[in-house]
Order: sequence, then structure tokens, then C-alpha cells
Amino acid sequence: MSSAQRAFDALYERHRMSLYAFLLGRTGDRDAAGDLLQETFLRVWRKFDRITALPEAEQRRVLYAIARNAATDHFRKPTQREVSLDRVADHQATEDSESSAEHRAQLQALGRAIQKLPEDLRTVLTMATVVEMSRVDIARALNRPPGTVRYQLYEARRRLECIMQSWKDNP
Amino acid sequence: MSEKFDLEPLLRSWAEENQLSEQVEARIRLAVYRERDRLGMPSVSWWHRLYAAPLRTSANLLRG
Repeated sequence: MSSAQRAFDALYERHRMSLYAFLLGRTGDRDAAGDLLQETFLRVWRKFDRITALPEAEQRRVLYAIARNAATDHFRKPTQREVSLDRVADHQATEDSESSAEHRAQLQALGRAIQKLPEDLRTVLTMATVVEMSRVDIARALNRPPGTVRYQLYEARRRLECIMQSWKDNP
Repeated sequence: MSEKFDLEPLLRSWAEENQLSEQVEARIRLAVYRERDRLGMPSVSWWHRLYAAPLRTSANLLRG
């Protein structure tokens, strides 16, 4: 294995989970996020000779820009499916026992509520919850001030609480 | 007034369900590494190294 391949593998290991969460936030679709993660790293490899020469912070910035563009291209496709963060819950709802049916219903409602969040809020939320990134790491990855990320996480949770409270009171 | 909705446990369940599974991750890794090996190392021409590269900034790369 060449040194470039080793460097690429290390880059993949370091960023795959955070990029997946980022793409999940952008697309709102688990399968699409997986496909786009693959597409992102293929694009990265095509430019790797240039990316590898950059300082680490700049590499990260480029990686996220490539992922963002891959997600944008994904939405330009005419066959783009409806996004569905509650799809998993939909599939499993029929298989679950009655005792967990309520939990499933709540998960579906939450999935729909997350889907309704503005993309910026949804992205920081998925990065913080799905891969448990710290606010500082999210701020670094998205090139935003940590204070902004803190506010966006607070706002995402506040909005979800509002929606879910209303769902609970009027299911 | 009903009891306040406790978001965090549900959010944790949702996050668990939306994680990248090991199976899917293995498929992605395999596809990426295969394609990487098929394409080989991106080569930079002598012309690019000599003339174009110094003019480039990472802004070009940001276009993805």
C-alpha cells in the first residue's frame, strides 16, 4: 500500500462518522447519507494529491465542502425520493408488540419533527446526537463559532420539545 | 396543563436508530477502497506542478 493510500485511509477513519452525521442532517435520509458518504470519499480521492498537501484544518474544510456539494448534487437529481427520517420507525411499527407501539409512534413523530427543522439546526442536531460530537468539534467541522453551535443545538431541542409536547397533548 | 414532554430519551432512541450500521459502513468502505485502487493515485502533470499549482488556492477545491 502506498503512503498516499495510507494517508487516505487515515482521513477516512478520522472523518467518516462525522461526515455521515453531517450528510444525514443535510439529506434527512439514512440511506442517502450512506451513499453520499461513499460519493464524498471518491471525490476526495480524485483530488487527494491536492488535499493531502493542505494543513489539517483546511483539509477538514475541503472535506465538508465536498460533502455539501455531493448532497446538493443529490437533490438536483430528478428521481430524488422524499426524505424520510421516520422511515425506520415506519417499517418496524408493524412488527412490534403492542407495548412498544406507543414508543414507535413517538419515534415516528420525532422523525417527522426533526425533518421539519431548518437544515442548519438538523445538521448540528444529528452531529451531536447520532455520533455524539462535542460542540467544539461540530463548530470546527462546520467552521462556525462554538457559540452559534450551542445556540443552534438549544434551538433545535426547544423546537422539538414544542412540537412533541403538542403531539403528546393532541396525538 | 399536562406533564412536560421529556425529549432526551426519545432523541437517544432516534439517534441509535439512525446510526451508520457496521454492515453499511463495511459496504461503503469496500466500495471506496476498491474504487481508490482502481483509479490509482491521482497524478499531477509536470505542467500543473510548475505553473498552475502555485496559482491555485484551496478555494478551488472547495467547489468539490
